[in-house]
Amino acid sequence: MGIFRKIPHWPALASVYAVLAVFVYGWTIYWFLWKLPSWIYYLTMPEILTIAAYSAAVNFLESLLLLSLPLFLSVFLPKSWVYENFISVGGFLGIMVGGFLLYFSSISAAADTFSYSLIWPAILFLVISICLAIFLGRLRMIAQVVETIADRLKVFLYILIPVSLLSILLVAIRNLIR
Amino acid sequence: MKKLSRRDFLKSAAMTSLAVMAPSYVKTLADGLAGKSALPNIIVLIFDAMSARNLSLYGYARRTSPNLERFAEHATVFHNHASGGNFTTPGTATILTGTYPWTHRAINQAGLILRRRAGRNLFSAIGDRYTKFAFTQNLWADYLLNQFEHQIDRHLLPTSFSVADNSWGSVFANDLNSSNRALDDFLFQSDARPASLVFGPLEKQLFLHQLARLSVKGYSRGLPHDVTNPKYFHLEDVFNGVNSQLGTLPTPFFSYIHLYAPHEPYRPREEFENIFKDGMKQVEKPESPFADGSTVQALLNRRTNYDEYVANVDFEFGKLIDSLAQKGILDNSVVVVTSDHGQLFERGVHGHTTPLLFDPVIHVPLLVSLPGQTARRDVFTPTSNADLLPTLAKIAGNEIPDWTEGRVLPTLGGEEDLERPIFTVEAKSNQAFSPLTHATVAMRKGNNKLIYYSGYTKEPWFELYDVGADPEELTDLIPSGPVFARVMKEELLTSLNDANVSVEN
Repeated sequence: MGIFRKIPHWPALASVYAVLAVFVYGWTIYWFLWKLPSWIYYLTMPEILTIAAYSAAVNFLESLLLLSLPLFLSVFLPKSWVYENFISVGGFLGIMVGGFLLYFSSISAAADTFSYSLIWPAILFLVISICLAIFLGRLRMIAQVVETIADRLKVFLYILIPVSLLSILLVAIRNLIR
Repeated sequence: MKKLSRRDFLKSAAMTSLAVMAPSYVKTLADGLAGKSALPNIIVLIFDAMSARNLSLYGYARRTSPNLERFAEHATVFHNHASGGNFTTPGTATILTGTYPWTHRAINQAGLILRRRAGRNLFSAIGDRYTKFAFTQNLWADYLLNQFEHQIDRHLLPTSFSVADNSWGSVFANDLNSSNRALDDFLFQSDARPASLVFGPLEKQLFLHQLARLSVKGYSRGLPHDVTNPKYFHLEDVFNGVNSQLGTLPTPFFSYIHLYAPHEPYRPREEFENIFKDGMKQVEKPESPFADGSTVQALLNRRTNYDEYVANVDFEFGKLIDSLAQKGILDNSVVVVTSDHGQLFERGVHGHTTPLLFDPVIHVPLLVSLPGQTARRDVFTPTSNADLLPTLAKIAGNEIPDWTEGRVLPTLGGEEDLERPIFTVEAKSNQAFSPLTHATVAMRKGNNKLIYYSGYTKEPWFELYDVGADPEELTDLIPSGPVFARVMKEELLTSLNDANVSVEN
């Protein structure tokens, strides 16, 4: 039962989720807009919207997967490390991980062979980010900045979550009913 | 006695050959009409990016196709056969719809046939008496097949017979076109930055890890694969897979098989590497305004690699045909071998993603072998891949649809007609739902070929070649202003205009 007591409350979870979602959805939306002019050349509007639905459904899973990282830390690390400063630690970690993923995405796209020289630094960066987040997230000034950002980003969830749920429904219908 | 003109001679030659052919052909057809069991199987085999210009079957200096030559001894060989487009999407859609790209409108990369026209296709023209099988390794061609999924009895995924792939769209089997496009061509795309921030790079690294552990034994240049949606395969596995599928289909069957080879990257088995050390020289040609920067030497090297790969494909084709003959499948099968488009190694251009419509990129092989055919026939009249649909519909004992722009092929029920214009259309930069204004259109009529370039510069321009006397298309006849050029221009522009009006309606 101790584990459940260390799961942060919904508002805190939503704040951290908002930070992660902005990275995940924002990246896809950016490329969606980049691709749109070409799609308009040969796809119909329903076809384009279906691609958007698949994208939103995948983004939803991705953002939940990313949220599981601070959640996991909150549950398994001492309460004072993450749980008590969940928004600032989780938000800071979200910014670090999101930023790293943007960078990793570009070097991964350029790679044409597998190399552990890409994987180990990524894992190392993740570990450093976790340590930094736990340490810096407790500093009052940084906590305030991160919490303010996370709070502002929460507004996007009013769009992203309903759209994602609708998208999942649409994908399910297209695959089950046809 | 009236002197025979060249045209009259060709017509009578065609009629004579038809008369010789007719008894066995008509019998097959009549048997077909009498009952399902007597209908011949139909095997359509398409090799991606196989240019007729690089086949020894058609006189190429390198011996790239001994097995096609062997097959041709029992087939009709079409010497001036043109694809509908110069890359997979329009070229394949022309085969599948029996219409030119300006009608089917699958003109963009990864584009689709006009939705309202998708019901009019090769599978519907073949009819319900056949078991219909389809397999393509090319995802862009599979997008088209998915448009008439409900008319195909057995449709294999493009990843079938591959040893590694990173296709996720196929997980959603009921919604293949959307899921492939969303997942494989967007979120997890491998050839550019994936639109998925987390799963995209992760999936790429896992796939690269899988590739690193893959055995490339026998392929010192690496395994053949699809360039846009990576799936790696051993050429022999794919042919063996197709062979085994054909052996399990209930007869009569219609099978549409579109293999990726010899599309680049050119990766033959080791036995075929360096088999053409002949010091071949390129015919010098002026650099095109659409040149991609390829040097003459680079083009020559690529051509040699391509030829080696073609020879490898030909070898596998030979094994497949021998096996089908051994199993007795060929005894009652019509076999069609062709390509969706060719490949260019000249004028500073490599490949086929170009606005150019010179012969190597649109001149494709066509061989049709009828059940029991014992002698080779040669047809020199220009023909088009749009002709396959009406021809196969006729062979299947069905009415020829009135919506096709093709005609039944000469010697297979059709007549030779040197006055008939054959079109090839390239319009990848044009909106699929709008009139064609940014396009290249080639019109072949007899030995003359007119090419119209529109939308690339302020003013459109024409080129005209006598491909009979000048097969390398080196001398543009437009500046010398022959009388027939004006007539051809009018005909081309009228046809284009009619097609544009038709699409708008």
